[in-house]
Amino acid sequence: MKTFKNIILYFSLLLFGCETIIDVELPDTPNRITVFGYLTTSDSAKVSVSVSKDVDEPEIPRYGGWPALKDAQVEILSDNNVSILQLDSVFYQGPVQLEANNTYTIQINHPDYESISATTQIPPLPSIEQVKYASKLENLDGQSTALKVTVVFNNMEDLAYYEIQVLGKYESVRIEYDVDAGQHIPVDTTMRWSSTALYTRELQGVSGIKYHYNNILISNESIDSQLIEFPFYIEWSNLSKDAELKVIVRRIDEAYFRFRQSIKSYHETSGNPFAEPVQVYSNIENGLGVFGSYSEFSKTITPTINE
Amino acid sequence: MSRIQVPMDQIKGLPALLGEVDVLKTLQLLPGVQSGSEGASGLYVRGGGPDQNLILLDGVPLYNVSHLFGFFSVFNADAINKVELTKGGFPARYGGRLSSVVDITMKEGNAIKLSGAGSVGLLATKLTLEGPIIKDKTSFIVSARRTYIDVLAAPIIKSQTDGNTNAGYYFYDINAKINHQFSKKDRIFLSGYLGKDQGYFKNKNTSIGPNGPINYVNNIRLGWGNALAAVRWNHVINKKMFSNLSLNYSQYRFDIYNAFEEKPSMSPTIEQKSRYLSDIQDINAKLDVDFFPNPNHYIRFGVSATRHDFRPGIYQYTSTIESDTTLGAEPVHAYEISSYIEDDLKISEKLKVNVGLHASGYAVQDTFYFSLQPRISARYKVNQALSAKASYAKMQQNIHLLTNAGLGLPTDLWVSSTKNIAPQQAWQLAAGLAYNWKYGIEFSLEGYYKEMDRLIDYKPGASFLILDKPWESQVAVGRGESYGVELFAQKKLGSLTGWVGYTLSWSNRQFDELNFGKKFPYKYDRRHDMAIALVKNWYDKIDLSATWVYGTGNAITIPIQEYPYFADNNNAQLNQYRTIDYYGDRNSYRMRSYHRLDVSISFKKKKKWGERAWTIGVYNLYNRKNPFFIDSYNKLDGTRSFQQYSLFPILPSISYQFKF
Repeated sequence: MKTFKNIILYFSLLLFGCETIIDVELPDTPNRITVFGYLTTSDSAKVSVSVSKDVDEPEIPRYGGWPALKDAQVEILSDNNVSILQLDSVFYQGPVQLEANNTYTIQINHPDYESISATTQIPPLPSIEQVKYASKLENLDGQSTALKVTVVFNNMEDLAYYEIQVLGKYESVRIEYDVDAGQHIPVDTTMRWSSTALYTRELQGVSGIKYHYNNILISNESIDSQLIEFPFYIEWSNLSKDAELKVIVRRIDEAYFRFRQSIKSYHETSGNPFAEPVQVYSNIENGLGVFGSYSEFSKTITPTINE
Repeated sequence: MSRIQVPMDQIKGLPALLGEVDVLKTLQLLPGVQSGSEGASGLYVRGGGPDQNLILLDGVPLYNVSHLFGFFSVFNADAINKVELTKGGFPARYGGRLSSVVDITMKEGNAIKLSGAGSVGLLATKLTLEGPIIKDKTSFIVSARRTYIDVLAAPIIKSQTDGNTNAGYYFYDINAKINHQFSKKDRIFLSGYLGKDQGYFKNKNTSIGPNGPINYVNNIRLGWGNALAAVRWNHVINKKMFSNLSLNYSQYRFDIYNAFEEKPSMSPTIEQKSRYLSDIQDINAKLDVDFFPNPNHYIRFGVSATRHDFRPGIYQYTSTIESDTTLGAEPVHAYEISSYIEDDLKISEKLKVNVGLHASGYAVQDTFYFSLQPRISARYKVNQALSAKASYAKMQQNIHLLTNAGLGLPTDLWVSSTKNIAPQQAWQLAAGLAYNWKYGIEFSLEGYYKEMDRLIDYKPGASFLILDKPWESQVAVGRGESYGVELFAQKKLGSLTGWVGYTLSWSNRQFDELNFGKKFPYKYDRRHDMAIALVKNWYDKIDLSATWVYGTGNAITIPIQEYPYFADNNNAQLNQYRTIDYYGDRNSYRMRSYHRLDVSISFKKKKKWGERAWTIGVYNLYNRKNPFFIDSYNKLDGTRSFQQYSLFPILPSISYQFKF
């Protein structure tokens, strides 16, 4: 496909031989408070708060990080309780009692920026009956070797959003530069958890296989029947025969789901001149980012792979 | 009502890009009709899309009407007899598109003597011949046009690449028509059109491998074009009735082919071939009957049946070293039947009404879409000079165009309505006044309101190149509305002819899956659009012409801010962020306004053999840097900046025309 993209670009560029270029002034837009917060019952309330910048302002040096917004008044409201979060070096954090099914509203005020607010309701834990897995690897489309895993839900509520992620234990080799040898050499090997690539078989897909990077977003709003079993495939290429896997199923709120969906499209189409720009979803009133929540189920499995 | 006929002489007299007269570009100068991007020949009529125009060549619909990526239309002005544009108040005999009907009739051929016309320009050469085959019974016309950029550039490209590369681009089109009169009551017309754009690139090179030289050959072809054929039998049934029975064929195909060959001296040749193909093919039969029962009625009725075959976006890959692959949408076959009846009814000397009904049925994938489309338009003569008009029309369109850039690129995919994607629908209400002033000057003022439903657009991030998903899953379905006022003053008589048109309009879209469900301006929402076209003739020897156009800038989506994205709460390092562009609302940024002045002068001279003319033209006389697209780039200091790319600076042209 890349070849075709290039062919079309090549012939299009032939036409631009007599192009002239002039700089364009962008309209002034006020910078906005940007929030990323994902509440969950197993963690404390923790949000990152920063400020957007005009695209023509100088780039923020990556080594210094995008600065957190200092001196902001960050409050989380729930059931008439107000909790004030304080900035540590990175996040605004505070002692908030986080419970499933409760609604939490974040309000942020700062003298230099427009105040923002957003609300989330922490979903209940996903009700999972079991996680099934195959004992043989499959060849997907003649390209990828994968293991089929099926999450069996006990029931599926009227409208629910889920995120599935699988962590695999991968061998990680630390490499250092040996001055005497004049080259990089392996120093030690450790095992570390890392996300695996995931696939699904799509009923309508032309190739039948859909690649999901490292998380699958599902919602029963786009599925006709009540979803009870959800099969998917784990990329097995870099895993050992007796690899340990952690299957994580998160029940997520709608804002988190829509944000994750749009950010996926955003990254997938980045750099494609023929694709329409993706507007990333935000539920922050007067601001940017997302204030969402989830409840997490996880199960560690060690599949026995038969040759 | 909402109908304009532009005389071909006026079209030919106006200045043209690189001297190449273009029918569709002239229509863009009319009120309510907008061009898309710089140079493009697509029509955007009353807030509609470029796919919503029923463009008929001798009654047969054409799909992609663009040459050279949309910079020229496929119509050769020398072969055309008449062009009529209808923007609203559609008579019931027309159907299948929402926004306009462009009815182009080819010349029928000179029945008395052989005559011809031609021209040699910077871009193309064309020749038209017409004449009798059997005097007063059978006549023909044939017209051909071809560009020659490729021929001129070939030696330069070869010399700069040591003869290893051959690349170029050309387009051609051929129109032909024969009409034969069997008797006073029977005539038959055969017409055909064949047009193609072709880009090509062939490169050979050699490298030295461990076992000797390896030869590589890369061959790329990019082509698209229409083929059209029509047979029409015109039969006079009696003094009050005649019929036209037609059999039509129309095809549009877009094709990219890429072949790579690696020929090592000691081992087998490796071949990889890939092809991306998209086409649409129609076979149609129709019967139209015209009936004049008395002077107060002119009744037309007819039936039509069409078989559509769609193959949108098929990708094929064959290789000697890998398994063959075919990706893309399954072919779709659809059947369309329609019938209509309309009456031009003269109620009184002052009041005339055209009332009709168009019925359409579309069978696709075990689904049948039926629609009844009432049409009515009325004209009331207030006095000899002033008349008031009003119309209502409901339209349905069974096919859709999937387009990314709106540039009229050949990659735009024509797709059928399916069981999941229903046909587009629209209704339009228009009302206006027309006034005939002295000196042959006519004024008209029209207002319109149009609603469109079941429009499709790519979802954010979707693209025609994503073949592993069905196109239906990549589109969003929504609605649109447009409204505005058009002012038109036209002078058809005298040595100075031309028109002034102005449109004040709004055009919006609303899709649940785009812009978070909020209404947004259509890309070609143009608040102000104005055109002035003038031709001054001196004693049939010199024609001086000028056009000036002005339009509000296109609405586009560009990033205005950026912010960091943190994937999860466990990411304690704030420097592990990715940057997201914030675009604001869809199409919330306006490009600079577009305006341009073109002029041309023609020197005509009568010769013994006929007439010749030299035409000198200047496109974009004051060298306005009109916006084509905007792109961002990163400066050395780390800031991001935006640049507007313009396509055509001041462009002079010269051409030589002759007719005999």
